[in-house]
Amino acid sequence: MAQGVGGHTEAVGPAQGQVRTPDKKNGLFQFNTGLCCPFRSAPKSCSSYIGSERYTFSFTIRDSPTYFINVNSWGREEYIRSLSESFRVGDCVTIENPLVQSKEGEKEEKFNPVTPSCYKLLISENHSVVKTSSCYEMDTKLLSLLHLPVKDPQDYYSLGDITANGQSLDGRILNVLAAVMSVGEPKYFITSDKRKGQRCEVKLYDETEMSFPIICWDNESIQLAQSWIPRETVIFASDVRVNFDKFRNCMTATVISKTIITTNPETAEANVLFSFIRESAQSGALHDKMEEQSKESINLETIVDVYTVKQLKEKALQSDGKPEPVFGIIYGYISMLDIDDNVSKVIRNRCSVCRFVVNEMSNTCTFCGDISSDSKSTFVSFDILVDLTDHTGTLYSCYLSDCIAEETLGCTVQEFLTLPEDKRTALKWQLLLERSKIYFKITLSSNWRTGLKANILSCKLANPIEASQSLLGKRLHHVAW
Amino acid sequence: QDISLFQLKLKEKRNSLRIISAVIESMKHWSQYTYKTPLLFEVLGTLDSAVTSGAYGAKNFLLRDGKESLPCVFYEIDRELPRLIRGRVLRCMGNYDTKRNIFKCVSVRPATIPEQNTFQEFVKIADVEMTAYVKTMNEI
Repeated sequence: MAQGVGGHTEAVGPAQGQVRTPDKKNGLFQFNTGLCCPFRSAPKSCSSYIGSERYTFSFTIRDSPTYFINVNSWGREEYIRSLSESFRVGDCVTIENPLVQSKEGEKEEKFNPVTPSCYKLLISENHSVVKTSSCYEMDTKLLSLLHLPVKDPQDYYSLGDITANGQSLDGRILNVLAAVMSVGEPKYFITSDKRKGQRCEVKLYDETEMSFPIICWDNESIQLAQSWIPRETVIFASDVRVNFDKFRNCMTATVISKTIITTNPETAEANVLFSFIRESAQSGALHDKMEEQSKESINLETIVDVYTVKQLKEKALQSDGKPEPVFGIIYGYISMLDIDDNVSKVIRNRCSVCRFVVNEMSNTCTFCGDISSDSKSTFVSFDILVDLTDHTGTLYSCYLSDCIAEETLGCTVQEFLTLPEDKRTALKWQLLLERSKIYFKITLSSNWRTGLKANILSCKLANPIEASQSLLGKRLHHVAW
Repeated sequence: QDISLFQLKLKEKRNSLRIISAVIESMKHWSQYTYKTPLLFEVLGTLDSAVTSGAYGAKNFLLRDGKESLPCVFYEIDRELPRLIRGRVLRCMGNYDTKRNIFKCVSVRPATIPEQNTFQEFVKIADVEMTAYVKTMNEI
């Protein structure tokens, strides 16, 4: 992403036929179409500054099934940051008065998505304007482009093909069409040269392979991945790099700066995969696999950030509604736990095929649809809402559900149902108002009553020494948020 | 739009319940702010009386820390008060009724040794937080 821009090339006219002809307005070139960007880079990376002052940010925009073009912008850190925060992949942008430059051949495409255009756009703070519009204002024609792969929809490797070819594909760049099995949590680390890094592993599957890792290293693709729904989302990932992982002795894919990911593509090939997802969910074939992965995807040891309730709410306010979840630890108390009053409030039926909570009235699973209508295919599980309180405030309505609730209460849902009321009360007071170490995952959601959706990942009585030291030390291992 | 709505929701919950570890003296002090924010106190103290029964399932006892002593009541609504031994350190959670000078406990049990050893730290942590909170409240 670090092409030089020195020696400003003269602004060439609109790239003939490559992007839509710009309108001349007030002496400015205006690409007067909403443009969506299926790819964008992080605003800053190791190679993204020159000296200490210039930052860069690049993205790719598209306004027709055939044509898309790369956009680079360079400038001061504040400008680049505010620009990069002003839109996300899938948003519609209008770019006024960009500089149109010729591409620099191979060098250009080594680190950027391959585009059909022989030009690229350059945005500068002084001359160009980038406007974003909400999806409601977006042209439906543009919206449909979001689900159209940038490559020939038939030009992809099945996961089985990659595995079968094995090491002979090591280092190759190719396209993948697959369904999302699970999305791991982002893991943060510090590189040997003291830079913050992050990594997120997504497991893919298709008819030929039940579990295939694809790894995201940059913030943009990690955020995108966090929006994917396991067993529902299908992705077409163009130009991912596949490698042989010697350590795990398997093939893996990596999202790189050339990669463009199309979520839920509307192609015949993707439709076949969607049907496969549905069928395999119905047959229960995925169940064991999912169980295994849902456990492995939350590794509590990787969660180290300690928050107070107040800090967490402040973080959430600052985050401007970014969709990525926050994982952390709170030393606090469960201040509301209503398990001995009305059992029906804390028990829900789940679908035994996919583990989703089933609709109470019809007792059917919205995910698996009609096949779960008979009550045998559901099972009871905990679904408890608790409040978490510490010395700084309360986080209301946090979810304590399924296996985690069983572990926390120290009893299975079946055992719980057979307990007399006084025993349930006793169980309640083992936890209620006791100082606990609570691992949580918070997702921002404006639809939620409290604005935050909090899931408890683990809740155990805290060691007071550990808790006091942590709160006094305020050693927040803060890394990328 | 979504974001501002969400921020609104968060802000309106600003004065949510806090659980404050306190010695008897600081509990009495912080209790004057319960009209601004709901507070629940965690107090550790020595049981300094017999446990006596009162009306409506009430159990009364005296808690002491240092020179301060605090009349406490626990109502046996959903469960009985566990057997408590005079002279032992108790851990009580409850609200302080400033008018009647009584600590209404919702949870009472013997304090563990690690709890006793770390309690001063938690009192300190809560004091710092409450001092800062009261300061911002006064500024508004």
